Amino acid sequence: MSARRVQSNRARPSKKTPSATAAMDSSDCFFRRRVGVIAGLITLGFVLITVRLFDLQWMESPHLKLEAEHQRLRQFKTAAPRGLIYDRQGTVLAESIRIPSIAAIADEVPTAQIAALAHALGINHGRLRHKLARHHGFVWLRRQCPPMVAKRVLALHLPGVHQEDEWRRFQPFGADTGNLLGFVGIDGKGLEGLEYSLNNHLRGIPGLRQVRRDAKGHLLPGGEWIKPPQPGLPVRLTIDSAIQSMAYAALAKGVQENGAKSGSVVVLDPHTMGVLAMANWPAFNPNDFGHYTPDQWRNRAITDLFEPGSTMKPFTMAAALSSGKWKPESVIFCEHGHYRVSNYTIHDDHPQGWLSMTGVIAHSSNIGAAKLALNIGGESLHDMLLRVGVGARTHIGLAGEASGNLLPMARWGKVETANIAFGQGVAVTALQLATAFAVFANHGVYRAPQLMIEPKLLKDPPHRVMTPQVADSVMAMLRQATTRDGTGWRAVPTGYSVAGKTGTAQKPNRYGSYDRKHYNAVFAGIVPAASPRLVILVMVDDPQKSIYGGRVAGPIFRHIAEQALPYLGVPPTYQALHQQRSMLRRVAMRDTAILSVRASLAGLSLRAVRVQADRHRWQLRSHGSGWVYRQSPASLAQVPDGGAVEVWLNE
Amino acid sequence: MSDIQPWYRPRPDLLLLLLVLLLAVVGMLTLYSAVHQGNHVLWWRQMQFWGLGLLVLMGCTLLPLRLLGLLIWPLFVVSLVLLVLVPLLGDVQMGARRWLTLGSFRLQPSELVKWSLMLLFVHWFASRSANHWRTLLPPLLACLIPIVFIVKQPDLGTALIILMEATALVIMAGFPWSWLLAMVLSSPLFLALMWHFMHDYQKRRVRTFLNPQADPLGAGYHVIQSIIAIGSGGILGKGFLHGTQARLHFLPEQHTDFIFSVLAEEGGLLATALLLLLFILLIGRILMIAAVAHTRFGALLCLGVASMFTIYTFVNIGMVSGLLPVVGVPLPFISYGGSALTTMLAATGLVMRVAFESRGNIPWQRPGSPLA
Repeated sequence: MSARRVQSNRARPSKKTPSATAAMDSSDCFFRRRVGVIAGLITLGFVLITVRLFDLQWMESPHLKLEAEHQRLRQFKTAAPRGLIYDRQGTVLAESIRIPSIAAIADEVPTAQIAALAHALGINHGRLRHKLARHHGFVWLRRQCPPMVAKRVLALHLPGVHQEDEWRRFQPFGADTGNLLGFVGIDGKGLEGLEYSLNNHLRGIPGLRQVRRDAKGHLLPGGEWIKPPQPGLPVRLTIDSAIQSMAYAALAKGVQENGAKSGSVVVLDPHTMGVLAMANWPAFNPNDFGHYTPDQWRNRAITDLFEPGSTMKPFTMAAALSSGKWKPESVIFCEHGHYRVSNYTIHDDHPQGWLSMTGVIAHSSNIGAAKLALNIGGESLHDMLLRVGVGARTHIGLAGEASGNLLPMARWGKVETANIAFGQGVAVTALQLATAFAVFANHGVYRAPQLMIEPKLLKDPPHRVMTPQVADSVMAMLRQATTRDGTGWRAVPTGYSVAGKTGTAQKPNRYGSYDRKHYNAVFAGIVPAASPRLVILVMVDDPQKSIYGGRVAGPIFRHIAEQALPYLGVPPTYQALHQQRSMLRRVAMRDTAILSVRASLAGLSLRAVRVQADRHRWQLRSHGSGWVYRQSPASLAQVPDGGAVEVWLNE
Repeated sequence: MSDIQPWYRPRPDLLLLLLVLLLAVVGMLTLYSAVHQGNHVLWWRQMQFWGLGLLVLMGCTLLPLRLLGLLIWPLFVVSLVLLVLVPLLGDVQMGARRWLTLGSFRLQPSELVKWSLMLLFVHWFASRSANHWRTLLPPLLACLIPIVFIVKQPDLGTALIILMEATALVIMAGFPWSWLLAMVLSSPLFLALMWHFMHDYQKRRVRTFLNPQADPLGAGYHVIQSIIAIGSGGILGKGFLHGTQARLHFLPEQHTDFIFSVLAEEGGLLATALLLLLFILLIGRILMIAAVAHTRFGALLCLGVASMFTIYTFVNIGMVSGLLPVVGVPLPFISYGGSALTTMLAATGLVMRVAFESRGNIPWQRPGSPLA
């Protein structure tokens, strides 16, 4: 190009100043040719450069643009929060909280600064140096650290070091819901309980973030999402956090008072078959699960099997009544405490003679139950137990659920039939037994329990187990079992009637026989008996002070019922009130109805509690803020005016 | 002879001046982009260098060529002395001893040597033809002494430029084509000899040039980053002050040797084409002046300056775009640096002087004048 210019220009001045050209000698002519050659060489150079620039900036540009982006952009995977877990009221049971973590691209961290970095992180200098030397790319320096630490580290402006937000699972109810909900590992994966079994539903989809960096590895603020993280889906449970807390507190107190090894409580709503509470002891704090042993993590209410003992008798009775051979009015001879079946003797703790059907339940006669079962035959009892769900998982949506043990029919001999009639040689979970008892509350219809409102799991359709008449007859008998004459009178809360059964079962030992020292104390009950609102099962494993279901599990049942029923707005019946000594004073009070509804303060705000306390001149002591989840004493009915009341609140 | 202007009217070559000023604008804008994040002082200092350089240009324009002829030998001797002083008193920067500190500013004698040698060649061949060994030997000797010193500094780039410039001038001065052919044919031997005497880092640079991806984070880093910056600019560029590679410091030596990459990244092919056009116009204009020069000295001077600018531009752009190995050569008028800018503006001034003296009928240049 320039060559042409030069040549054209060469002609121009020659026209303009012909004298000048004419003056040049022959060597100048030669010289001009050389100028042309040089111009050509120069043109060649520029053409070369131009071609190269076209090549780079046009042809190779897309590929080089990509390369530029590749080296100045860093992509980071970002964790997504897990779905929330709510209870039936919408209270949050588990949430994910954003928490900073410090990570680094190991190769980009300057070696000279490692000491300062270790100091800011609050970790060992040598270990950090080792960690950075061992890795080349991405490495976590400190995960889920306090925000102050993160701030301190970022203030150093070290190349390659950056903050990543992670999510830490927090369960506000702590140990109350710990065994039920389980916990989540540091990588956001559910490891136990509901968090584990519903992990696919709860977990979010991680996002991809793109951040600019400079040549030294400093990350620039800002950045954009390539793929935003998708939070996990929420779960709504049938659990009522207030009842869960009541159940947990009552169980914890009962188990500790009796020096027992462990215990479980299941509270069901018989109408919806929703699990209102499922508590265990020993429990663990899921927000600090690392400090507990795996033994404390499991949800005993569904994983641990126990022999139901006398709590099996209502089902024997139902089978007997369903057979048509026996009527509620029938009487049976209880052999004064000793009865031989084959070469095996059955004992009653309290020897009885002739007992009505009701008496067999109320006095919990093993011999009576065994004779009934032998009379109707093992097959009917087996069918009854199968149909109320013994020996089959409830498929409630929790991992690790045990199915229970029910011998196959083929192996039922006389001894087995007699034993199973009073709850030996058969094993159930707490949830199974509670579900079975709900059959009586539902007038003979079995319905599978459920834990989740959302997502809804597919359930077996309800099926009838016994006629409503039979169910109601057994309910009447169970009511008798909790009167002063029965074994379960300690389970009755003030102002309510209970249909329930105690159970005290020897624990099988590893030699295949029964242990004389270790027992399970069980109480299964339906309350109020007239129009059931709650089915509560209490199981205490190996109590030391007393072994009897009525003494150990009964009071726990009462504590739960007397708090939960007022909380649910179930008024006490006056007829029942009159029966109770302690209620006489309260009948005299003017606004009995209002007060009795509020026999529990659970769910009230502190302000409302103060109003109540002022009215009765209680000495009030409160802990925490928010809403009452626990109170002492358990029932306000026993608190005289001017007495002391203690409440615990949480958000 | 009727159209010869009868009056004497001195007038500078305004087109040449305009082109230089346009280059100044482009250069200062690019430099601003390269340093605006950090050292603004550099930009202001370059502004001062431009002021100084334009003054020098003016001075050179006023310097009669005849007087220049008298100054060439002293200038050569002075620059040679300064060059010899470098190993004794010079500053070490980046492993090379190239600078002399004079008060508050640093001088690079090799820069001066290049130009004084060029002038020496021009002066020598103004009255001789380069077709006999007797006319060739003295300038070659004059050229070899500084080259030895410069190679020792070490600064292979400058030495190569001197050689290229000398070659260009010798060709222009009538070097026989057959000799040139022989030289080209014997160049492999020459290159092998050079390889033998090269420093390790210089060898590494050449190796890197041949295969930059062999060591992308080490020796090849500069070239790879530069190529990425140029290429990622695309056709329209990323916009003034929006070049990512430069701003994020991926691009090394942004304000000096690699400033072209900054321009290419932010202005794209459009800007690089504009810059090349400016250079081509400038060099073309100088060649035009050479073509109408009244004296062989003037023409040779213009050709020397034109080839010098071309070599600088070609080597620099070739280097940053990966065509040539990395040698420290600034881009004329654009790169930061006082010595280079001032000398180049001085050279431009000399060209303007040639144009000036060719324009009118200066008495001693009239045809037939004994002084011509």
